[in-house]
Amino acid sequence: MVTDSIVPIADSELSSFAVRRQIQVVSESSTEAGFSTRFSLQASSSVPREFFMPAIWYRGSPALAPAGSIAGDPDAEHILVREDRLPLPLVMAWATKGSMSAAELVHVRPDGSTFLGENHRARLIDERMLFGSLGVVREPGLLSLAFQFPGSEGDRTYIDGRSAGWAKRAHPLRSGFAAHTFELRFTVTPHVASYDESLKRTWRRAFAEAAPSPPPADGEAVWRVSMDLLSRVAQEYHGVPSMPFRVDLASGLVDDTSSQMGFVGMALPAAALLLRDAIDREDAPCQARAEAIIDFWAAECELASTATTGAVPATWFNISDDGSTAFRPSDAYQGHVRIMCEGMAGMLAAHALVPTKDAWLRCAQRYGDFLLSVQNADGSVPMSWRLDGTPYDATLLNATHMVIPFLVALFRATQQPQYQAAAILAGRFSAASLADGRYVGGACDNNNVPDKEAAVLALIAFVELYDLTRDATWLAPAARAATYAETFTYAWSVPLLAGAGVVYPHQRNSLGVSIIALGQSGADNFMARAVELYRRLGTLLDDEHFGTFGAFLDGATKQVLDWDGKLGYPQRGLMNEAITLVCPRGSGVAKWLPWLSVTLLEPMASARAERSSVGDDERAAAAKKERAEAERIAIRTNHPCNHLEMTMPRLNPNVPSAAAMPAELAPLAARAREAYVRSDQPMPGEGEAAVELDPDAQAAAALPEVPHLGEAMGGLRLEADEALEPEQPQQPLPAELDSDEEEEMEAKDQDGAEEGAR
Amino acid sequence: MSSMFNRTRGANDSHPTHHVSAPPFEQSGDVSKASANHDESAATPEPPPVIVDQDGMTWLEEMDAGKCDGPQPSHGQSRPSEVVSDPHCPITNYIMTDPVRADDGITYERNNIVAWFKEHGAVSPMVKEKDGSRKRIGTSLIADLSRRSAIESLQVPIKLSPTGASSSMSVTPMAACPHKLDECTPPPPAPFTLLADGSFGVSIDGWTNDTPVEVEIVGHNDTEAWYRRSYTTVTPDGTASSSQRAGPPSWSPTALCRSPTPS
Repeated sequence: MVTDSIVPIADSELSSFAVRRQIQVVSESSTEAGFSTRFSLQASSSVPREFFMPAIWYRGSPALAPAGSIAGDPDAEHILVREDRLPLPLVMAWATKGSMSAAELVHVRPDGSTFLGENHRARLIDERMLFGSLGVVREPGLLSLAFQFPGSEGDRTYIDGRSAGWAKRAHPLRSGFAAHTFELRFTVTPHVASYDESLKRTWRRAFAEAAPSPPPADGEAVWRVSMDLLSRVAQEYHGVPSMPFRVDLASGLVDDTSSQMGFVGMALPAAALLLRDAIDREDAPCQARAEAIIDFWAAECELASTATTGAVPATWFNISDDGSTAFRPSDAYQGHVRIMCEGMAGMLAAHALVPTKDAWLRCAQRYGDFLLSVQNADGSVPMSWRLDGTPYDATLLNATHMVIPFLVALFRATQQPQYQAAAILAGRFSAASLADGRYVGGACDNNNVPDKEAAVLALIAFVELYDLTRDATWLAPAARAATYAETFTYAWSVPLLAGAGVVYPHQRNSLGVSIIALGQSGADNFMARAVELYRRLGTLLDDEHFGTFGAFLDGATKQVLDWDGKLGYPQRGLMNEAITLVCPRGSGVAKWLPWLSVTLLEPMASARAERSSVGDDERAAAAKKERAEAERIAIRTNHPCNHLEMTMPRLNPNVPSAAAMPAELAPLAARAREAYVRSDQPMPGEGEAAVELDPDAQAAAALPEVPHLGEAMGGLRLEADEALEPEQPQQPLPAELDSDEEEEMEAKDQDGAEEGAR
Repeated sequence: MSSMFNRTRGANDSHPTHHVSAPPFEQSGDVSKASANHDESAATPEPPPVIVDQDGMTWLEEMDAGKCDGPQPSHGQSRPSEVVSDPHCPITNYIMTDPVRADDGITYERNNIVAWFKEHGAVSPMVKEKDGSRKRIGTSLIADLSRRSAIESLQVPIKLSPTGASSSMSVTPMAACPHKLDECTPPPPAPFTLLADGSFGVSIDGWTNDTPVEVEIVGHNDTEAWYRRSYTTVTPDGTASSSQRAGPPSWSPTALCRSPTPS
């Protein structure tokens, strides 16, 4: 017996209804063994549409995802995806023309149950499978948003390897079977202006509906057990001080003593955190061990750089039994700027705690100077570097945003504005190149695939730039990255299993783990890194959802950590590196790597620092004031005159960009620009319409295409003000220069005039 | 659409409703009770009695059920075929509880068309002249018994599958909007459409669901087959199975009304 109920959901703005299906098998058949059912909504395929399925399908992702990805062929007859692969079980289609409406089909209150033997592609008929599949089905002239129950997956699946084919699932036609029930919500939002907005609304609506509520964790315990673990493993191995690469969860023993400075090894940031805790606790032996690790890296980097010409550090060394160390041969993975920048940022964090360690700062600054020397005029930085200072591929620029936090930290450490200018320039490039939502290559060992880490790193970078400039302009790309990243995060509780091969702690729930990248369903706890960032965005943008999501992450990302001793690991503080919630559900990597603790501890460290300085009311008042100021600055920053730095080199190739500016002028220019932006002076051309350039000037002003990033640079083709002749240098100088600065300026002008005369 | 119940959206422009689709029974090849009850070969009707209401508007007394088993008044044109089966009032798009035929040949919910006449005079809500003005019509209202019958008796056994499985459905008619028309925001297109088998489909913004049950049956020998709108189960007594597709029981027109604006 089939009972379908279709119930409208009253809403003044949306067309929305719920579908509830219940099927009860009233008798068996001698010839029929099983069944599945599908509910679908059809529409004309002639309407161009963009689709969204969390962690599976985004605008433009089919062209970027690995071969064989489930949504790799958007025209496939079936793109049906098991919902345990989806952070929230939904599919959305946005009409890019015409009505521009967004249609979403959501599985409400999914169960998701399965069993351990449900781990192969062959057809299964079993009543324990209570997960569905969602997606798009195409027929000639039509496409459907569809939900199938139980969740058969095809035309492609990742079960038994990423390839074409079906993994069919069915319920038994057994008399009395009545568990074939589900509820869907279908909603049409009329006229949504953009794909990004459609994605955001769809995700947020489903997130609010799911209302995930992770159990609370004891923050102090999380901090303590994580620090204790770092302290235990930060030892000398064969006489070499090291933050080792790996600990086995079953034995609790270090099973890989090699050390990687950033990314998953995170040796330097981990050592810096340990150093901080040791200083706070006045634990001199622990402090000495942390310092020894950083000293070793600084010395090795110095040695390495003297042996090469490029000041590019090697990033991963092995320790032999005889105590000798050898860096692993360079490749595009180990030469990734993310690894180097995270390592060097750790070095700077440590230096901030022990300022007497000049070698640490020198090491980081040498690498920073290298980055400035290779930064392109548009702010971009190639992704991966050989030790000799040459890029593996000069056209791969999608990791540019990953250098920003390091450059900002370097500016803070040195107060030398060229690092600030380089960070801002990289930020402008990144804001434009990431505007189309193509966050690619955050995972250094998978650097050509769209992933969540690229988005989280963009979020970190743009918030850093906001903190650096207090310019709200940076919050828009930060919010875009935040929205993209959160859609990789499981916000419904996939039922966990216990048994052989299961790594994920079945004592917890799955909330908060996040799919790593498109093209697979491995998940990890990296979103822990963004807890405080979402909270800050919530405050800065007055965006309740971001605040809620930050609070959700705060609890959820502690689930995989054995902070309370209930997971049965040999030591508290351990956690698994990666798992899958699909099948075999709960299987994964039963190892701890330093990045796991660092991603938990870094946001906790910043939150602890903030909490110790101000109270809640004070913080709220400060945030409000900060928002107002940031918006004022953003208005001024966005004025065309302030983009001369970007446009001038294009209008006249002879005018140097900020990156190529003589070092002695850079500090003055940076201060002048900063003072101008913050001043109350009327802006040049204020109130006047921007003037169109003539065709020749437009051609000269056109920025080059960004490889792999399409038209993303459009955002940097800024209006030119009539008052700005291409041949003339930028002159919107601040009125608030102090007398010393004016004298310095005059002296420079004088020097320049004399230079010209000579 | 591969379904045998293919519908052609907007194929008949003479149907003046503004909701996205109003599937005609006839187009699907089925014959509904509603259309079967209606006899288009009309003879001249009796003129209805005249009444004058408190606003001074002259109304023609409708024919009640007992008087309306005869032919309908002729309006010089044949009615669009889908009007016969559409349970929605074209003014509000809600399923009618008291359908009446107006002089323009279109059936409305009684309260809605009366309110319309009071507000706008004796013109059609749906039909316009070539110059764009609303067509002037008489204010006679005739109970559309066939429509009422179709709406009230939607609990119709529907033969669904080749093996004799059947389905039934019921509809809870909706109350008419209690507010004046001008106090209501235009409602969104009615999401529900009546399908050929008497069950409901859904249609929103070009998205439709008119294949209520898609079932894949897997045989013991690992064969598989998809059945759309059909499935094979037998009730314990061996007679039939049932499929039920409930209508819109909670579609509340009041939720779409804004509060009257104080004058």
